[in-house]
Amino acid sequence: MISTALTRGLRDARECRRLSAIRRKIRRESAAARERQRTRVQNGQLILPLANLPWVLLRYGLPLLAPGFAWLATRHDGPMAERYWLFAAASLLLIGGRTHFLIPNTFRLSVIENLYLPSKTGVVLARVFERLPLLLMLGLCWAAAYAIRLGPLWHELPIRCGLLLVIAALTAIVWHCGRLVLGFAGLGESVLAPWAVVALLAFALSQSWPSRLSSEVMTAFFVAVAFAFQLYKKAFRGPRTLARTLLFELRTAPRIAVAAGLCVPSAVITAVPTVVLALATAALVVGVVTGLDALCQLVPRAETLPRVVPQRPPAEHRTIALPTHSTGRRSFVRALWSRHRAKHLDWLGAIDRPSKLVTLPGKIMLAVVFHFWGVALAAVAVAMSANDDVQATLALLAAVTAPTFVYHGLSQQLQLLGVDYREQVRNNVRAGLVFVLLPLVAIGGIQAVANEPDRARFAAVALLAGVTLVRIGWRGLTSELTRNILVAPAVIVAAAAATIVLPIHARIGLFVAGMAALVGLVGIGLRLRRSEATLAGAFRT
Amino acid sequence: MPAVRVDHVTKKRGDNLALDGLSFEVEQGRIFGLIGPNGAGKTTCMQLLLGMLVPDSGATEVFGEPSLEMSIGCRQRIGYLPEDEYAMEDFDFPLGEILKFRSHLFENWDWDYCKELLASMHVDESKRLYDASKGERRNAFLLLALAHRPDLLVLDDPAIGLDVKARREILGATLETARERGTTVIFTSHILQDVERIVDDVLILDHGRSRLYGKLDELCASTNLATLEDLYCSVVGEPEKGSE
Repeated sequence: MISTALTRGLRDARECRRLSAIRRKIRRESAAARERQRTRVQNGQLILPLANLPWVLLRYGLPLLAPGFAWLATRHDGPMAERYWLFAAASLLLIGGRTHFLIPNTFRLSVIENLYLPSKTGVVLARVFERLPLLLMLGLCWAAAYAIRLGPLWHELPIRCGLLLVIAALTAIVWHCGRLVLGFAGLGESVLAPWAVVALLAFALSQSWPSRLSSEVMTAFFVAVAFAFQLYKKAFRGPRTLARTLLFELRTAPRIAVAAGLCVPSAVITAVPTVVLALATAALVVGVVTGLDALCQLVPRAETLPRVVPQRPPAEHRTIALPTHSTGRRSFVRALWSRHRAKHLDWLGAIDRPSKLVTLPGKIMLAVVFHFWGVALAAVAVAMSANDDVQATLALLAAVTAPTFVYHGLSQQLQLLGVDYREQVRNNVRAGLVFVLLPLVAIGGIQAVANEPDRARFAAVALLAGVTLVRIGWRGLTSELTRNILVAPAVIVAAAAATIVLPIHARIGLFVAGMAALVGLVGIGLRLRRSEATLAGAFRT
Repeated sequence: MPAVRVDHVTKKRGDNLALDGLSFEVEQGRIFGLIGPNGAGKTTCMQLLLGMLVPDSGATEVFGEPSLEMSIGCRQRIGYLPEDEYAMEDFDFPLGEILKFRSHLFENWDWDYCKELLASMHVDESKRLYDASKGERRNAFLLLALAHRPDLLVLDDPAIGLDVKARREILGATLETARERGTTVIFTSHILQDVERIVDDVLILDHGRSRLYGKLDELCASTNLATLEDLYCSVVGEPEKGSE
C-alpha cells in the first residue's frame, strides 16, 4: 500500500526535521548570545510574549468548543439541547475548517526549501508531522464531543462507541490530508460546501416553515451562512476543474458526516452495524495513507513559489465609463459607497458559461453574509433572549462586528484631496449610526415584537444599542488614531467570555446597556467636538 | 551537455501567456544574459528552470535533469539570487546565523572560502538582514548564492536599486567567480551596459517569445549595430518621442 514516493517522502521528511532542529538550535544559541550582550530590558521583551498569548489561546482553545457545546447540550433538554448540538456540529465544521490556519505556510516554500532541502515532499511532510500533535488534539476534541453524545450508551455498546471515537479522531487527520491534496492540486476552492449549506438551510426551513419564522430557523440560517462564509473561496475555472475538485473533495467528506452525527438522534447512530463502523475505521486509516501518498505524488509537480495571497480577479467585461463632463464635487459618502460597491457587489460578474452558475450560490451567500452578518446575529440574540435571560454574548458580537460599509480610517491622503479631518470623523460617526445602530435596533425591535415581547428581549435590544454607541464613541474617549490592534480585541474577547460565564439578567442587561449608551454618547460628543487642528496634530504625535 | 536547456516552453500566468514556446540552451561556463521589457517572462523563465513553477508544455533541464525532478545533488549545484528578497527566508536573522545553517546543508562547505567572500564583499555577518541597507542586503544575498561554490548561478536582476559603485562590486564579484571556477551564469538586468559588460550570450525576450538569441559579438556583427542597447531597441522598439 505504501508507494516508493511515500517511502522516499517519509525519509526526506525525517532529514528535513533533523535540519529544522539544527536551525532551531542555531537560532536559540544566537538569541542567547544576543541576550547576554543586552544591557537593559526592552519593552518589547515584556510585551511581545503577552501579545502572542491571545493567538496561542485561540489556537489551542478553539477546538475545545465542540466538546464544550456538547457538554452544555447534556445539561439542557428539548429544543435548547438540540440547539447546543447544532452549535457543537457547527463548531466542529468551522473550527475544523480553520485548522487550515494551523499550517498556514504549507503551500509556500522558501528558496532554501525549494532548492537545498532533500525534497519538496519532505518539507511538506515534515510540516505535517510537526503539526501532528495539534491535529491529534483536534481529533481528540471531536472524539470527546462524541464521547459526551454517547454517554449513556457506553455500557450497552462499548465496541460501537469505541469505534465511533476512533472514527471521529481519525477524521481530523483524513480531512487535513484532503485539504492539503486539494491545495497542492491547485484546487483550494470547495464545491460541496456552498451546496451543502443550501441543503442545510432548506432542511431547516422545511422543518419549521410555514408555522413561523422561529429562532431555530434563524439559528440554522446563521450557522449555514457562517459555514458558507468560512468554506467558500472563489470561482472555478471550468467543468473539468470542477469535476477534479469534486473527486479530490471526497476526502474531506467524512468530516461532514461526523458533524452530522452529532445532530441526529442517538438511535440513528447506534443503528449503524459494528461491521460498517469497523469498515469505516479501516477506510479512514487507508484514507490517511493514500492521502499522504497522493501528497507525495502531487507536491513535486506543484508550484511552491513563495507567494503573496492571490488577488481576486476583477469583475469581467465591466466597462468603466469616465465622466464626459464635470459634475461638480461628489459627496464623500457617495464616493465611499461607490468604492464599497465596486469592492463587494460588482464582483459577481457575468454568467457567460454554465459552470459559473455553480459558483453563484456561494458568491451570493458571501455577499449576503458580509452585508447581513450583524443583523442576523442581532436577530438571533434577541430571539434567544427570554425569561429574564439576555443573550449578551451574541448581542455584543453583533454590535461589535456588524459592517459599517462607508467607514474610512482617518487619512492624510483624503485630507490632501480636500476632505477635512472633521468631515472624515463626521462620516465615520454617521456610518456607525446609519449602517450599524439603525439596522440592529430595527431588526432587534422587530424580533422582540414578533416573538413574545418580554423584558429580556428589550434588554437585548438596549444592549445592542448601547454597545454600538460605545463602538462609535470609543475613539472620542481615546484617540482618533488609536491603532492598537491588541487592546480592542482583547477587551471584546474578555467581555464576550465574561458574558458566557456570567448569565446576564434582564435588569443587569438594561443597566449595562444604559451605562454603555451614556459612555458611547459622551465619546461621540467628544469625537465630534475635536477641531481640525487637533485631528491634524494626531498624525504628528 | 549544456548546463541549461529550455525546450519549447509555454507558461500561462493568470490569463497572460508569460512564455510562448521559448527555447534556448546555455553551455557550461558561459555567462548568459536574459533581457527584455517588464513582463517579458524573464523571472518566470528562471523559476521554471529551478522547478518552482510547472510549465504548461515543453521541458526544462538543468545539468541534464528535468527541473521538476532534479536530484538534491543537482539542486545543490545551483546558486540563486531572486529578484524578490522576501522569497528568501531568514530575513530576520544575521547573515552569520544563516551561513551556519547552510553549512549543514552542503556536504563540501568551505568556511575558508566563505570568510574570503565575506571579506571581499564587505558584508557584516553579525548584522540582521532586515537592518541592513538595500545594497548590503543584495550583497549578502549574492554571497549566499555564491557561498556553496555553485556550478550554475541564476541571478534575477542582482543589481536592482543599487548605486553605480555597489553595482560594479556585485558584477565584479560575479564575473570573478564565474571566470575563476568556470561557473555558468544566467543573468537578467534592465541595465543593458551591465549585461553587455559581462555576458557571452544573450537572449532578448518580448511577450514571452525569443526575439533574438545568440553570441553577443556575433549578433552585433551580423546586424551592424555597435551596442546591446541598439540591438535591444531594434528588436523591442525605440522609446517613444518625449519619453526620455
